[in-house]
Amino acid sequence: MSDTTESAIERSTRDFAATLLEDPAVIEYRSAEAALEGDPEFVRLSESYNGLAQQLQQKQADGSLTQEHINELRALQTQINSHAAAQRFIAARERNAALIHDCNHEISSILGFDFGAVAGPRGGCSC
Amino acid sequence: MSNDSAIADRTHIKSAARSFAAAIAETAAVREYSAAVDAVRADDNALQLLQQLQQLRQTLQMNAGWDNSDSPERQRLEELEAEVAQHPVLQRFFASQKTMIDELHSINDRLRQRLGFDFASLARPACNCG
Repeated sequence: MSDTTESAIERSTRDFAATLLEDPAVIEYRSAEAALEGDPEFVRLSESYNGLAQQLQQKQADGSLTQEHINELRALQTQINSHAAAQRFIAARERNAALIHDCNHEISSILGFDFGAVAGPRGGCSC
Repeated sequence: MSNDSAIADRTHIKSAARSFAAAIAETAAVREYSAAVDAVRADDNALQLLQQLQQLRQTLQMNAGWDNSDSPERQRLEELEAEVAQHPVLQRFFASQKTMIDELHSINDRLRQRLGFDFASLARPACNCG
């Protein structure tokens, strides 16, 4: 009984994943994510942003944070948001999330509880 | 790709999603959890204990701003938690709930390994981070 159930869940997980991986929204999302992570300019911008954000947290804690620092961080954020690879990734993520929401709705209606809410990483969101 | 073939693909995906859900529902962990929920619903004492616990926790949460570590409500909470921990029907309920959540995490992990992204995280409603 247990073995049969285990293979049923393994099989259906594999089939479901394989079906999703053929969908244009999923293909584009994976491609856009790989392009983003492999874009040296975007990686450099992200690292600069994260480094500066960390520095500014310390400055905020010791009271030396100025408007100039905040403007510098905002300028980096604007560069990141307007980066072509980031814009492609954001659009692809939205399309993929819409598909995943639909699938989760289908799954949850059968289970009687929200699969995504229970099965996801504990605490926090995915942003 | 034409619109027609896109619609056909999504129908196929929804069908695969339903089969996936049906297989989850048949796992030992989910079946045991469903049985444990039914057992709680059939036990007035267990239901009453759960309701009292929930109400008291809400009361204490509302009063969280001030120190209530010695309050009668806090003492009553500890008593109730001890009663719940000793109640066999509720013991089964909480144990099966934990096992089911672990199983669902494991299934989602296997899905993530195949997809290259976390299905459950993407399925959550968008939050307002950043």
